Amino acid sequence: MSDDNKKKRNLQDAEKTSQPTLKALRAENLKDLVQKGLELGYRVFAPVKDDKLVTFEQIGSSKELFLDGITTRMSPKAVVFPRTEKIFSYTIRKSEIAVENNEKIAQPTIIFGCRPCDAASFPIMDRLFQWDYQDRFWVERRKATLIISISCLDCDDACFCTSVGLAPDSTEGSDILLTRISRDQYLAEVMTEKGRDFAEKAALFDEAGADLDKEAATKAVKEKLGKKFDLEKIKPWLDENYDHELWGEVTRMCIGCGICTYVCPTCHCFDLVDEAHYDGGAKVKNWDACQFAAFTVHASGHNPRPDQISRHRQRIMHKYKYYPDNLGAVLCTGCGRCVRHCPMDVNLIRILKGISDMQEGGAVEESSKGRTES
Amino acid sequence: MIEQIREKAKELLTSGEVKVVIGYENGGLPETTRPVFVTSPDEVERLVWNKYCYANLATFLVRKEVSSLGKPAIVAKGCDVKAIVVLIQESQIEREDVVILGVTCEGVGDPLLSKCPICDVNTPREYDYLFGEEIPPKTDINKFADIEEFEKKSPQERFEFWEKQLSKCVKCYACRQVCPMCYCEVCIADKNQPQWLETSSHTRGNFHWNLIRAWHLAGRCIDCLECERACPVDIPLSLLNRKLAKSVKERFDYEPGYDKEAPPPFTDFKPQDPQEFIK
Repeated sequence: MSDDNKKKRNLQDAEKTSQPTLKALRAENLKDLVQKGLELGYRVFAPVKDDKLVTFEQIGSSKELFLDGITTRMSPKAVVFPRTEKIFSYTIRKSEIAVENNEKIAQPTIIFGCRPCDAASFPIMDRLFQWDYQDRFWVERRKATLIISISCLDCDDACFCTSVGLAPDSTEGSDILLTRISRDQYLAEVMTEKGRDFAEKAALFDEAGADLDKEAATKAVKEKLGKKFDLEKIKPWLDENYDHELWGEVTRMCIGCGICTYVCPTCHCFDLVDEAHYDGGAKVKNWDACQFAAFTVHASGHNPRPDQISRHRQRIMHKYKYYPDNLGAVLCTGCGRCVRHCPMDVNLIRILKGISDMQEGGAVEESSKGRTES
Repeated sequence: MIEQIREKAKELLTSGEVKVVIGYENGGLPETTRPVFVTSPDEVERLVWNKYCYANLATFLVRKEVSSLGKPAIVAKGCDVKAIVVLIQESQIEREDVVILGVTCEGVGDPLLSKCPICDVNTPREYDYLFGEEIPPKTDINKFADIEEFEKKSPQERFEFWEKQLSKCVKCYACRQVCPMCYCEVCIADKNQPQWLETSSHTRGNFHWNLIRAWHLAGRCIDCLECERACPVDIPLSLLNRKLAKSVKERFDYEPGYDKEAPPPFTDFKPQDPQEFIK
């Protein structure tokens, strides 16, 4: 694909204002901002907590917000790319079949309080959903969705945004990025026309003073994050090593569940299925995962990815080789969810670090294994 | 204890009695471990044993990615051994085809997982070698106290509870994949000619999947609770599994995983089986 096309296919780029507008938001007004969104008629999706589960839900009041976690369990991708949706439905009558398209796709929506790694996932997926075909479900929802994200001031051992070219305060994908500068103040970077329009309507932002120093506020978390592997070294190795003993060594414990793909903010594979009953039915678009055996099985019964090792390799190849080859971006934002929630600790960081260390000339066997102390 | 396990693993691999030792190594995050497949005597130092050894490794005995390595020895807690016993009962593996490195266990997790305080197999009931001090089985436990409590709710309350819980399901099938008892080569959820189950993860489709899964485990689930540990959206699957376990216990006086010679209840008929439902 030409560079020109790549540019055109990024909705965010198209809407980006030339210079971000810097504003200030008093901490006490954070919840009012959400309330304002609700009053203006937006559907608002934000992190809420139920027992130990923190995930994005549609909220009816700012009281439901829970903003203390690092990342939510599920990413906010479902707001734009629901885990199940009807494309069209039909009813069979005596002499005709009535088809009804799903026309009610987009409503004005705010994703509030997601992390920069989640916000960054949307422009990455824009490239795919507007590639050779304009997926109107994605495109219309994306246009109607405003993303207000909040920079991270803390991280955990699974976070690796800085290793894939992002940062805990990246503005990619955000219409407005809020960064807490002090107990009382947030810096608001208004990145797009959509964001500017909302900021004006909300009328809660002040002019930003020179004292709002984002670099100082996020310095500590950036140091804590460090770099976990060298991204530059990954793709050259993948280009050459489709067959390598490493794949078996590092993925044999993978049980082939879809957790890593379903919690992932950038995994976007789906299946089209017919759900039919006696007098009607629907064509439905459902999340699917490369980790499932049924994902690639042919009608003949042959499966070109016959074992979990090849299915896991596919996930890494797709994110770090095929997507960059085809669409010019790494399909990963380093949110760490796949690392955090894998029941068998397959651990993508370990695998990528193993590859990057091997390129340094180090022994992959050592770095790809667990810690050795008991 | 880990030294003895490593020593035995080394011995078994060196003699060629087994080709792989399935055990735990330290994970990449704090308080985690990861399944490890040790194939060389030089690598037994990777093996660890601690309270974060959650995974039921028996699930790997029926996975071709691991069985292709050759005859295994497996590090197994009492609950994991129950899964191995069911696999033997159901003719998935032969007893002599696996070397069981049984470990006595006071419970895993910090705080302990909910299955641990009601465990009566702290010392595994089947093993080739045992590691750790023997722990006598607890006798004064009620395994189904929470189920009895749940049964007191009205049908309406129970339905609302499950509607809320199952609406969260994303159909990642981790509950199936992690389960040592879910070894079907083609799961009914993956059969699409015809499509038996809706693949949509709306609430109806989620009821469909989760109830099918639970039913297929009636009289077979050994309560390792791996499904509940793996579930990325915290659905209390153990309540479903153990409700059925309780029914099987009450009706057939049977609990899976304790006796490798016992015929599983759904493959067996006894004249004294309750049949008052036949009217």
